Amino acid sequence: MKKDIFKIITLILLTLSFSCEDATELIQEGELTEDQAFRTLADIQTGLLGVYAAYDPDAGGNGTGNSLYANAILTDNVKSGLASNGQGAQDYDYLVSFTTGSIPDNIWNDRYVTINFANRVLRAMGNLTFTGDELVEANHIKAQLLAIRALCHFEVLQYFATDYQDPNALGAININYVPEIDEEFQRNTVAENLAFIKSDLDAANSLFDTNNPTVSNPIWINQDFVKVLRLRIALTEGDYSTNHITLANELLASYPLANFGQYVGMFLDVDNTEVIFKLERTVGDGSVVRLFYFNFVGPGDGFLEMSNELYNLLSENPGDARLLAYVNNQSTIVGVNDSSNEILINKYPGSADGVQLNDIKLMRASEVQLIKAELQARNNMLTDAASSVQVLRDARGAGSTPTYNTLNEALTDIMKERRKELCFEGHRWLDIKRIGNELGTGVSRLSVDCSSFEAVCDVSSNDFRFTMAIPQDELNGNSIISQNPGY
Amino acid sequence: MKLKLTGLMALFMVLVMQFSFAQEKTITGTVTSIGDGLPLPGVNVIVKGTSRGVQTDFDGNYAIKASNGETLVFSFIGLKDNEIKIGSSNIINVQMQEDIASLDEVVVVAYGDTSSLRTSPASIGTVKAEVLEDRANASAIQNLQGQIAGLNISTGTGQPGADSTIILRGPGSINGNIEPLFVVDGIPVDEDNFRSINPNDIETYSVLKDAAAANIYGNRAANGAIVITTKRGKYNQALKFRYSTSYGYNELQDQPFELMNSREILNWQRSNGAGLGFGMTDSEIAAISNQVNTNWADVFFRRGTTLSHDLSISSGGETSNNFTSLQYFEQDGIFIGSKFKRFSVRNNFSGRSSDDKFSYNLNLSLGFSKTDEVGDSAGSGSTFFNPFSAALQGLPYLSPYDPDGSITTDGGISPGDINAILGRGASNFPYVLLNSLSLNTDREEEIKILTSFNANWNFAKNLTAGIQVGMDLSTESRLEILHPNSILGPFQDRVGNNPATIFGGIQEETYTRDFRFNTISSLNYSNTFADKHQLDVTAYFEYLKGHLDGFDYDQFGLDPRLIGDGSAFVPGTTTEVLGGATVNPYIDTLNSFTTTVGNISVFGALDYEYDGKYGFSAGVRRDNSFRFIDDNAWGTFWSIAGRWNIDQEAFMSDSAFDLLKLRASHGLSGNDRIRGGYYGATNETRNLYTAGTGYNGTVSTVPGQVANTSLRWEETTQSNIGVDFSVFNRKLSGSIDVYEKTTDDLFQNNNISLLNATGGTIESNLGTMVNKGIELQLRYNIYDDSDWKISVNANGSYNKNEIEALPPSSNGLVNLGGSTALGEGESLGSFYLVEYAGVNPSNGNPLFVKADGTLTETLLDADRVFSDRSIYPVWQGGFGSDIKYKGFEFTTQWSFVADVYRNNLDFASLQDVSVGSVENGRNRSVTLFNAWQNVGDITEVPRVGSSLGGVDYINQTDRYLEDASFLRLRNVTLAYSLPDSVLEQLPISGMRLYIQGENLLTFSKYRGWDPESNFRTTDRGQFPTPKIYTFGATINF
Repeated sequence: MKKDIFKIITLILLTLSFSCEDATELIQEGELTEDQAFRTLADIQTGLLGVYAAYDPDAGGNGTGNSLYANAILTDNVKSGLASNGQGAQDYDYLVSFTTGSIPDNIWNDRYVTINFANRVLRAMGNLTFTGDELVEANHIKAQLLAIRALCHFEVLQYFATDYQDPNALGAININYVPEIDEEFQRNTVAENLAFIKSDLDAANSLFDTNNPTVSNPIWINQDFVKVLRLRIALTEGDYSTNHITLANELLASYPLANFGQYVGMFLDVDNTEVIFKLERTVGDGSVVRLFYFNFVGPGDGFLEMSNELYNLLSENPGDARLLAYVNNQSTIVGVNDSSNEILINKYPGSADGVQLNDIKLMRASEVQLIKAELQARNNMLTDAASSVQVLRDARGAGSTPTYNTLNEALTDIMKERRKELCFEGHRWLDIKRIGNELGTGVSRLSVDCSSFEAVCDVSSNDFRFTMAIPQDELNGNSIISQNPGY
Repeated sequence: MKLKLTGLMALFMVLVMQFSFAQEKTITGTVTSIGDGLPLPGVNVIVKGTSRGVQTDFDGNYAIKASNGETLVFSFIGLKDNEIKIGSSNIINVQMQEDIASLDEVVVVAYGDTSSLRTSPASIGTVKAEVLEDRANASAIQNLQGQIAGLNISTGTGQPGADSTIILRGPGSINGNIEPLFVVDGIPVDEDNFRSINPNDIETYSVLKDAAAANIYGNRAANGAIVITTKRGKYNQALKFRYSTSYGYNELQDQPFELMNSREILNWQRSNGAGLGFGMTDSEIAAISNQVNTNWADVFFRRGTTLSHDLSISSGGETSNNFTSLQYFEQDGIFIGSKFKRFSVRNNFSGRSSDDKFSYNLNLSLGFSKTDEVGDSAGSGSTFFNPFSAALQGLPYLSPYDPDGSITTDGGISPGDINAILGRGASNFPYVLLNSLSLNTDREEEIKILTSFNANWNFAKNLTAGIQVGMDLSTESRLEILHPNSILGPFQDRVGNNPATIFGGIQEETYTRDFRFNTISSLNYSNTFADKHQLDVTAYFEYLKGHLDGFDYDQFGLDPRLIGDGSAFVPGTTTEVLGGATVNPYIDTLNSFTTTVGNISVFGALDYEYDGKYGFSAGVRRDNSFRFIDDNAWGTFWSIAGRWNIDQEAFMSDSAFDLLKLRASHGLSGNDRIRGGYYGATNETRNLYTAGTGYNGTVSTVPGQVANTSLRWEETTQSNIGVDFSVFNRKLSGSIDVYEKTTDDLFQNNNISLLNATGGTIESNLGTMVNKGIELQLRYNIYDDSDWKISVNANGSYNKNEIEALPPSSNGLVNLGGSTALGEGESLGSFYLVEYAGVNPSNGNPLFVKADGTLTETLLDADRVFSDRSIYPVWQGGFGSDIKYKGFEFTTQWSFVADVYRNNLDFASLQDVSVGSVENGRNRSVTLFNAWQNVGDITEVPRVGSSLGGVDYINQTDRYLEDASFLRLRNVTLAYSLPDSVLEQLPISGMRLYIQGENLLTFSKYRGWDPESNFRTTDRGQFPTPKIYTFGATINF
């Protein structure tokens, strides 16, 4: 008996010699918790770089995309290309889709991912203490995070609010923390959004380090970024105070309009004269060229081409720098509004970083110049507005002096100039949404353009589809959110 | 943990309070057969209620130590057990008689334990491997299809050695693991990898279906278990050799497509205004058609060969026996470029002490396999990478020959010639694929080592301690080279696939090492009380770890003179000037990974039998999974089962039943494999960050995973009632089972706000799914005399799957945009599509049925409906016959699945008439001549130039959703064994010659290459299952 007990104890000890924990408490190699991820200022800086990378208005390709693509495919600036297998046909035809991968889903998701990442870095910063030079650097990082957070909230507002000038209309969800997975959110009102955005911008503005070496490089956010964003917000909410004209002039003093050579160089990413902010795109990044082409800018490869309508506007004056810069010289123009025209979009012609890569010019002096013109027009300074537009036209080597007798005339002309100047930079659809209703002009495509897709030619500016649908993925996980009317 | 062990210890203490005073002595004797009086070797002689046992030697002699009053049990498969109580005599001779009730069946239950069909209360199906021995499939598992009721093994590819998908009693999880656990010689192994295991080493397959059978394997057996034992030597046996060889051919199955020939497609192009034929005159078309009319399937498919050599050696002495086998197997795929080779070695050694109180086994197998693959792009829509689509859809007017008359390898296209590649709707794609197949490499080499060791020590009366250690090591190296001189070679670089770079080509190499370690210690108490109460209790402790390590790289830029290894690599530092910019086109990408998984389990099992009539068993276990945290980590699972051997009752003594057993079981088991396989989802309960690609070419820190801390075990409750029976002296035997299997807390994505940056979903435990079914297995011996033996067998099962609850936020429907969706009240894998209503006679456009029943030409998601059609079959099974006459044996084995559906994109592509598709570079079905042309045409095919293409129909409508039910002659074998009279003249003890065929006949309504699939939704350019014919010989000496 004793012997048996001894044997059993030996067996049990043998069993126990296998430690349990190494099979139950398994932490995999490469697991990085928040505590380990953000321990130093350098770590925080990498967090900021992740936030920048998350913001991706130029994402997409092969018939899908984000805001840059939306402002092309949903408007009158493109037609179906020679290489098309139907890329973008549904969006071009205004067939509503807000499921995963649709334009509304891409825009909403990308902005809130960026906000989420920014809030995580801000949370991590709250757990760390910096002093001296490090504090200055940390504040500069924080300023950029707040500015991006403001930008993203503002863009959600732009695409998803029904009426910018109704303070009680529903806009974006304000979020300044990292949510729990079971949280649900109702949208804030436009007024609440604007207050939130402005408060972020104010905070950011006070935290920038003007001596930071990155300030002079337009690929990084600085105080001028905040200024441009303030101008955009002003136009959107209808705050046409002349203070904003002063703000525009300040910016234009620092960022003069590019001359002809500088202008062409800007789109090859070799000149930054009038670039206030651009997103750097380098090897390994998504390629903006793929929004319009399969492989490269050239004949036979574009599934989306410039519309005849836009081409006609650009060629009003053959000396217009924009005609040369935006239309690839391998295009085939058979005749005016000929359905065989192959008009190759050259706004993103590729760069030294790669044949499909270009930086995304997000804020340029010419936009500020046109904002200034609009502000002047809305303050009944119609002559000043005309000369502001003229300054831009002169810089581009294009066109006669405008004269405006009414606000409508001025706005119509400014909108046309915005269309030419800022095409394929993410403005056109938002411009129609913002100003179109005032002027009664929606999307109006030439029949040669819309028939290239066998799609709708005209979309009225008061169509419900000028407010995007809250994406299905948000509705699924957020039962208390309100959908926009019409969907 | 410690606390539980203390509890176990107390249990052990109770069990060991047995005192042994009896005096042992040695009993000897001879066992003979009552029929012919010949000595019987290999008879098991055990002391009842203990695990002490010996086997009789070659002359039927045995010697065993036992005490007065103990009982010796003599057992041998097919013979009736004899029990003899030990009295004063030390010599006990036994005559054994044939047992017509034993049914020849031994079922392997768990951890090496065996049970007879008579005494098992569980639902278990068994296949003896000798039935499958001569089959020509590279993977052992493929042979099991159609053999066991409720078991569905689907391969769905003709790539030799490919993995099969195995489902037992319906899919039990939506996203988690649905395949049963595989156990080889007691150790759990990778269920997705059998190519390196020699099928001829396998002795039995036991399929453990219900909770009672599977619970012993706990968390890994929620989907049941398939327990495989390999061949062993016998104690006291003479040295035996067995050599077998086979040789044969593999061929493509009959094809259902009627494709256009050159004249037809050119005419079709001409009349539809695009393509080469557009604008041609009749004589031009005739000139081409008379010259070239290629069937591209003939170019890409071939007749392959199968070859195998097997040698096994077994021997046994008094205290040890051994089995050794070697195999070489090689099989060409029927598609050019596919090939499989295996070399394997096995050694199974057993030893025991002379008093038989201690025994041990060591099983060691090593397999090396080499697979040349073409199948990894199967199913893809990538024109230049899916060779199967080229075989089906290549244009017939393209010649496959070079000017010298040989099959071309480039079609005259120079590498990087973008115009030749993309021109005319990329119609040259068959040349590109022929070129890739001839120049590129896609090879997997695997070394697999399976080792299991177990030892049992009957250290005290009625008490046996056991230990088992298992190791499963697989290392795989995968090499893919896209040759720089191939047509696509110049496009491979890191600067936008620019053919202008000096070097092209990619070499990708992946090396993985998968090592799984498992150990189980057990303590068993076994005793018989008052001759009628048999009790067997075992406590187990199990420890399991798995380690997956590996790395891979992609090298861009290869020197074409040096292809094969790293000497061809162009350094990443190399710069070139492209378009005025200096770039680095050859920067490689590198990756390295390591993952560890583990489980700890404590469990116990109890078996009780009363008087051979009633049996009861129960099991309970606690499992820890590293995938969950806090209270969720430990799961408690259990099972109970009972049986009643009705035929043993007195009132049945005159009945025709040799066996009539009623059994029932109920239990709960768990699944912790959330998704992504054995090594997947290892840390979903933790918030994690990752170093990503940052802005401006930097490194960033971004969230990689958002935690769900509430993840827990997916739980399956299963009830089973079954009857095993045998009547009229085993003339008819079989079993019937009815089961219901409910899986709760399913691993599913719950919807959360996009503000969480997870894309709107997070892995959660939500919802319920049920599988209900009935299974029948029958065997009927039609005729049996000394010359003729004729028997038939059949099995079938019905399984109804239903999702009872989905995440509440889904409102009962999860539609991810494909052709199937999850719906409450529907089966898993149900198609969710708009009903196709044919062609509108007035304009030739396709018509669809709206949700309200009216017809429309506009496709809307809102009109999608479920139609009770799923990718998983409802009915499945097999049947076969076995006819023996003297030395001849003729067997057939059929298998079937029914009520199963699949999208036929291959056929849809052959009927593509969408706008702009006429010149898409692909051939068509002759059915397109029926396309709508004039107002009033009544036809099945919409007008050429209508809006929808093949993929549109597949994704949104049921136009090409087809019934993929099939009946297949899985195997037919004709064999002849040399009679003894001839053998006497020869220096051998046995010889068998056979000819056999796999998949020779298939009956199906499905209009595709192969109705069989691995439960995929859509067929597009898949590798069809081949026919295989082999001739073979087996020699024993």
